[in-house]
Amino acid sequence: MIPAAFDYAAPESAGAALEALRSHDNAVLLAGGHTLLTALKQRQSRPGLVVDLRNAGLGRLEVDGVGDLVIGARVTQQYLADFCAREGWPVLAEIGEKAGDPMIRARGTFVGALCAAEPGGDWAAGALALGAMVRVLSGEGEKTLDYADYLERKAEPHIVLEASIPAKLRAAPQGYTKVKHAAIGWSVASLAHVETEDGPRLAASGALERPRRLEAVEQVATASKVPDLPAIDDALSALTFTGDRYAPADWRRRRLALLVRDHLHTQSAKEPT
Amino acid sequence: MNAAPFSSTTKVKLTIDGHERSADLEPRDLLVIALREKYGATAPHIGCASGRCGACTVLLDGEPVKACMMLGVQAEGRSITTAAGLAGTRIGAALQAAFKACHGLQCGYCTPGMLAAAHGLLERNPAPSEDEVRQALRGNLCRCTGYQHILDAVLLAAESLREAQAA
Amino acid sequence: MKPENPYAGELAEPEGWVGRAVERLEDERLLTGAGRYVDDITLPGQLYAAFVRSPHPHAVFSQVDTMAASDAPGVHLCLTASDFDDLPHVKPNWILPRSTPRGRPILAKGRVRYVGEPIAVVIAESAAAARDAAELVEVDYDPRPFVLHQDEALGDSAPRVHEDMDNNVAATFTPGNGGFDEAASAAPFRTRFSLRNQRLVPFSIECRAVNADHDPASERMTLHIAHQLPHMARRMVAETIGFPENRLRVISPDVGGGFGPKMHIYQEEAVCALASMRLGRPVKWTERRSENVCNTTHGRDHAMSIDVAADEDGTLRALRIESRANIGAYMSSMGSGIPTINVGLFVMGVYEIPAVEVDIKCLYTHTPPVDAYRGAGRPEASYVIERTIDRVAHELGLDPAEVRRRNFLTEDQIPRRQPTGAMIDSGRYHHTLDEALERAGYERFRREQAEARERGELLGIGIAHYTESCGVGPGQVQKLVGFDRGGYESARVRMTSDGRAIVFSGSHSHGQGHVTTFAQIAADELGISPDRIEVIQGDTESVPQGVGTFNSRSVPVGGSAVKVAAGRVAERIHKLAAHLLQIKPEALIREGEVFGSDASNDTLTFAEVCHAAWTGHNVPADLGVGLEETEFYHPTAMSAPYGAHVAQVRIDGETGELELLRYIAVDDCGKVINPLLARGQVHGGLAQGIGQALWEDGMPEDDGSTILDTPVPRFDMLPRFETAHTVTESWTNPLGAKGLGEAGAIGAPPAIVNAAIDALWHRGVRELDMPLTPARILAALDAAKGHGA
Repeated sequence: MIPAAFDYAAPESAGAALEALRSHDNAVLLAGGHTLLTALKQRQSRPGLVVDLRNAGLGRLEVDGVGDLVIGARVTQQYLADFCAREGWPVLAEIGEKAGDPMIRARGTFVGALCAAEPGGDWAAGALALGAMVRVLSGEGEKTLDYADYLERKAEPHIVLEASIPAKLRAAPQGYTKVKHAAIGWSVASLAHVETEDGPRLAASGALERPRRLEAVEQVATASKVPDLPAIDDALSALTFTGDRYAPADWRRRRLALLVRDHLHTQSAKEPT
Repeated sequence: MNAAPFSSTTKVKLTIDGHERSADLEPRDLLVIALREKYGATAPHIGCASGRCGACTVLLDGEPVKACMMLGVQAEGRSITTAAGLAGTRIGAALQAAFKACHGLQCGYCTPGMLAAAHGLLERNPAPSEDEVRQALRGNLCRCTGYQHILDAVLLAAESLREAQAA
Repeated sequence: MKPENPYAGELAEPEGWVGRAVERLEDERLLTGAGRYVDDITLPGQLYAAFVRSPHPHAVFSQVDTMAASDAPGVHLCLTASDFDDLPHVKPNWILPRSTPRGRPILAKGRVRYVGEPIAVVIAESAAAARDAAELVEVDYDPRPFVLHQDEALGDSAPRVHEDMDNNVAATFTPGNGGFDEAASAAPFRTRFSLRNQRLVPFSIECRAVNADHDPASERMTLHIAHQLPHMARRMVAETIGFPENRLRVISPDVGGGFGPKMHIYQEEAVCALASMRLGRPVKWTERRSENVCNTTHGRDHAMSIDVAADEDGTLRALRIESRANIGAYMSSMGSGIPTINVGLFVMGVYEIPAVEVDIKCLYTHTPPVDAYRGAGRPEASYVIERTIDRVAHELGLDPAEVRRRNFLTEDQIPRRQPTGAMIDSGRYHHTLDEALERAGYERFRREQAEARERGELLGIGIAHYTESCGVGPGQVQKLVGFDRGGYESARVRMTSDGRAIVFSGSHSHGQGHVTTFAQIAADELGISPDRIEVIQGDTESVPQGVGTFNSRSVPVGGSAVKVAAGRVAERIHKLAAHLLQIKPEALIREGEVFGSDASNDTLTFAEVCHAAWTGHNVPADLGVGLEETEFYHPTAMSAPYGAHVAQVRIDGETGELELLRYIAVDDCGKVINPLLARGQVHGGLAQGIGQALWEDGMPEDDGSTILDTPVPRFDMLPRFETAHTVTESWTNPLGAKGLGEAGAIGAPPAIVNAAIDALWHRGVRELDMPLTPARILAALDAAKGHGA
């Protein structure tokens, strides 16, 4: 419950925060803190320096000139969910009702959840289904990456300044189905979906080692509107499933396959024949 | 507060239940530990190490947060309301009365956090459904009541607040 | 403010205070954050303790290096086992005859036997400094083979937990009247099956805490402990560390939930006391959750096999139960009694069974010690018999409700001592079951279930007609079973000069609301309202020697003590008032607060009489000065509350997910003192029982560690409970009460598992073990494919 001692800085710009991160070989970034604080309390994380973004701006939340949704690193999950409930990208509003609890959403940030990409993380699944991009500041300067690519290449000290959600999916049919773990309520098998003209974009959380887009499943779904369970299960076979005593990996896999099947059946029933 | 890194203790000013307070905090002092040990505000309790029990929930500038999930230094200049200060708010007073009427507490250990979380709900939603109450308070563990009397209490408080508003 | 009452019809409200849904008198403080729990108390010169704990379930070690820790900033003292010439052990005080008790060393010496066992302590200026320094302690562990499950603890090749023992058997117990083989072979039906009652982490939201303050000048020590039994805590600490009990004071202030584990003394209380003695400064230790899940006692953990014989109509003929109880690495204070006496006596439930044999073995394993957790043995007993009844009913194609009715003890058989030794004082089982089935719409549900089945949907209904045993006492009985504690409870009732009263009670609330219920009981005796009565508990220096709160004994035993003591005070008030008015006591008339008589116009107020008693200016010799009575109340016997619980579930056959649709609990705890608080007790018990049935599992992982986040029920996981009472008063105490605190935790597991199996029986599922995780249900369905009836 008592973290090991560390130094603390709250720089007044993202650039200064990056400098602080780079100046110390054991520095970590603090935004909403809902991943870091837990690790600090259990002394699983023992940073020498904690760099807090609270004075660094990055609070932007708006629809930009081209209609993309831009979400700064310090935008809390609740603020985002409320915004999306009014402005579009309804899957994010829905995740806002289903992720964590009100206190977690009040402090936890959307971008922080994307960076942590915890196995049971809800927001990362939504971001993957929506094709989110992230703007990253590192020693090499600023770069915009596809969020899915970002997850593949965790790099050098960096700061994700903001995430953006493409405008074209603002009003697309979308949603989030979540199966909760009994202990904490994190996801054990969840599915975010966005229906595009090119077919569904699906992303899963909970059952896998981290949230992932289900590309193989999307292909099966595009080929056959209502694939059967074995076909879906086959499309999941390349993924690595995790589990625990309450919800073992093989059950999570089955549960996810059922979520996919039920979702595709529901979608197919909605479409005019 | 200075933007330069610091490791030693630093003076942190905040407002607790309407009173301006200051104390020397180490960077690693969690807000809940700072409140309890350094500011002497023992209403928020510690029940877990993982941020999952909600016993430490307080209002930070009116919004419920888990005081174990932020550092004390992050609260610099902000306003904290604990169960001790809730009686001074319209919603807090209604909740306290309703918890008593409905037997919404037993050992009382989770109660300060439960009240703060419920305060946050009624602030946002003056007429919650049963399910909305359950969802809003799912971050607060209670091992005594089975939650039903707490549910009754929050619904009753909401009703009495609406009646008072209408009158 | 009156809540809209969804609870109408539970109980009628009486004239007096007892039986009324009075709002709690203790709530104000707790609602304003002014509760005072042990960790809230910081004393002048306060020091803090942090413990070094074993990461291994079994290891030997020769060195504990505390050099670096001792040199760390702010550190005052490091202690290990080698700092004690004669290392104290925390010994059990319920030691079953012929058992092999092994108590916990206050710090492990040369060998650790479970993950979390304390090895060293660091005392420092702050909790942070103590924790930092504790990390610097080095131990040269040599890990050894270990055994976690009772199934593996019995074999010859099993690693032994205590090297001075020939095997891991801590205790055995074999109640029953024998004759199983004969009766079973004569019966037309017989079946055998096994079940588990899994280990649970009790998880009070407040962890344990102690603040030990030894004053070198007076050689007195005060211990603030989060505890259910302050007087027993005093005795146990005194015994453990060899401190004079008359110079030891225990204060248990507000306690944030107990549920069993807070009625023992552990290593930390003893170590903090000894450290305070060495340092002459107060030493506080507040348990972290990560310590709570692995060093504070766990509950349950039985593996049972059942052999049962019956007639074709379901009439039970013979029952044999074999239970293997995992009691962990050491015998905790009640560790040998809970799995034996509290299980073995009650496995017959509310039924007449001609031949019963029970064989219970308690086994040491390399896991945290197991002891009482809400229900403490009776949940295990009720689970096995209530599951057995359903098993018999399903196999014979009979209605489980009907099979219960055919086997119930009838009113003319009660009071009764069952062949296992259980005492049943009162019961109208048909009446209570009918009430529960009526409320549950049992027949209608059965029709809906049949229709749903046609559509391929899985609905199930389960009944548990539990009984249990509350209000431990009288002491003579406890002696027979090696339970070295009192079977009484104390109460002292004192009037003050202003006509108010103080009730001192040896019971101790950790949420139950004694301040209110005991005030109600005293109020009826004294004829004043409860808000004029102050209830004092939790301080060994002001409260007469008491036993404390466990086993749902506070109302039947502690409440009876209050009633008796307050009754005697009322009698003295009456006599004194008559004396002061110079009339015969029989002529005295009381109207509200005023005493008078038909003989004259002279009157005295209630307060004036109290005032006169304490000035002592005019008191008769046979009454003496003051108005105060102390009662050490011994119940005639323990009482056997019971109830009929009904659960309705829906199971998704594809996912294995179970939805608890309704839960109906009709409990019979005899006289209900406060229906509002009684309902709260039932709700809380149900939540824990449902938690056990559906989610919770405290069994350590394969490496012996215990997970931090045991899935205790959250707000969005439980349905609304439907509760009611039947009232069959007990003759074992003057209140007619039977205890209710544990009822929900006892009834819910069998009701829910019975409902789940009821939903799946036709699909070929015969057994499901708790917790009923979706994965487990699905696995059972998969395994049963093709075996459906």
